[in-house]
Amino acid sequence: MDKIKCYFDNISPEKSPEQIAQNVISNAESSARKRSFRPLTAVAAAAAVMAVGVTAAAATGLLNINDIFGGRISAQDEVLAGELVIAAEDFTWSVSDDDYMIELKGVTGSKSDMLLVYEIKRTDGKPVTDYMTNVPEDGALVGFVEVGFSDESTFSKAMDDNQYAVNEHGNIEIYNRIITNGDLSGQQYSVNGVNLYPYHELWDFLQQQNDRIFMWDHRSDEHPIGFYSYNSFKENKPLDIALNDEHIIGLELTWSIDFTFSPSNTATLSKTIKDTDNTINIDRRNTYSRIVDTLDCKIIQNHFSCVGGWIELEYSGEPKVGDFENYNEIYLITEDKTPIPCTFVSRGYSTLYVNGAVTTIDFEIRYSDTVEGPITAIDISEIEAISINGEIFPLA
Amino acid sequence: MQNDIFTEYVRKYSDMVYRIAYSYTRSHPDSEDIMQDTLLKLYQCDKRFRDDEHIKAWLIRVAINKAKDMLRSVRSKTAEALDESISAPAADHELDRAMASLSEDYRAVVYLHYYEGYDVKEIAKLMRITESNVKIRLKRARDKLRDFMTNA
Repeated sequence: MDKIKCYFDNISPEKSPEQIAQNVISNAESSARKRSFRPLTAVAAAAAVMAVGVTAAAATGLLNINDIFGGRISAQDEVLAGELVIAAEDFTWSVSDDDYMIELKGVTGSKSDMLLVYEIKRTDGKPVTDYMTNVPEDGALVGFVEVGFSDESTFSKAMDDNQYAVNEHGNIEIYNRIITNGDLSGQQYSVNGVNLYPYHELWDFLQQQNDRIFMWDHRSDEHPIGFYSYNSFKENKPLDIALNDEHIIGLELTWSIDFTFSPSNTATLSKTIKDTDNTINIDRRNTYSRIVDTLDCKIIQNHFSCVGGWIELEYSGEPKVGDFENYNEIYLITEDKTPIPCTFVSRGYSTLYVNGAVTTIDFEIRYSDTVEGPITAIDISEIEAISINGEIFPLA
Repeated sequence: MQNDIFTEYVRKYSDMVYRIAYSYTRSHPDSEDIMQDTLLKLYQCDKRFRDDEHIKAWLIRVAINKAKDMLRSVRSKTAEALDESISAPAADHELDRAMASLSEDYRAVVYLHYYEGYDVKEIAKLMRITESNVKIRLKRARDKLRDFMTNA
């Protein structure tokens, strides 16, 4: 095995440790400076709305999204933060164990973009982690979940972001976000969840079982691990992990929530790029060759709300895997010419649809300077244009 | 974390983090990215480490997570297989091809055992798999490498 040692001896970074360290330190300092670019208005904590069993719509104005969503999304000012709290009409919940309950922390979004946070907690007030079989060191969890809206036909494509984590109270905090090209107003939203697993342990286990990577593919009828489905109430059974010798389950529980999504007046505001005749240049780094190239794209559809945007583009040529997220300079431009940094986010499967010689690609336009950074909710009525790689596109 | 302490950790562990990343991705640019992200996480974390072994294990775990996240991100965007030919040529081409024939989890186990000197129990803990799984992967990796080198 000396050969193996020699093999790995020849694998090392190009830069010296001192250069590497300096790069990391510089990046960390640069990120800290960027995050402080837009100081946010401090807001006072407000009374939390309890969702117990069947409940009336959450009263708007008592809360603001800065409190509800913490580091994930913050509004530029307190007034906007209150106006973007959205009512969850006829909210109901259920859990399989009487010792647990669900509290809806809040909902926000736009007519095409829904963000919500809810918490699984115990009725006796003790931390859920005290009763979990496995608590992940990094707090990251994942559940087998079906989510859906009542009218599936209103959106043909959707992007989702779902995070499950142990929060500071030792309870389970669940964040759902769905962005679509349709209209979610007035639709019933449902979640059916089964079990919670430590995120990285679950992936390791699934790889071991079948020696391949599971892909989340919403377009096919097969859901190999039954993670997510946009077909409401479709039966997808998760793998029975408990039967295997790798007992990695975190919390054995089934739960559901249900409500009607009713965006506020402010939340339904939106603008679009009207002039879609012009070409838009998008940069992409090819994943394998690492070469950065530029695509000449046409806009198929787009919309921008107070919490984010969506754009669908088409371009000619062969689709290639690429990193778009870090290679395009995007800014919203306010009426007083203040730039608000944004990022393209291409999520999951919603990219690279090929139709003959034309490829379409969808992006979330995240109002954040990084893919994972907190979203800044803005008043879209005060935005006059979007700049994409130096080209200005008026919004109306 | 203080800059001088961080720099010392980078001197000690950057090669190790890079090699773990390379075990998974077999791509120098991707390994560079994963190494940077892992070390950035170290720089920004306020965790108290008991000793060097604790930091080392923490870095290995973070690097593995980030490597897997990267592989998942690439694979979920396309059905194309990863192009193994993007790796840079190694000094021993036969061994390089032999290593390429292993899956990323097998390569990682080989690296942790034969290069870093971790035993089965320690590897099981680092990779969050069972000890029997570690033994199976080591045996299969050894058999595959031996067959490859014999037939080459």
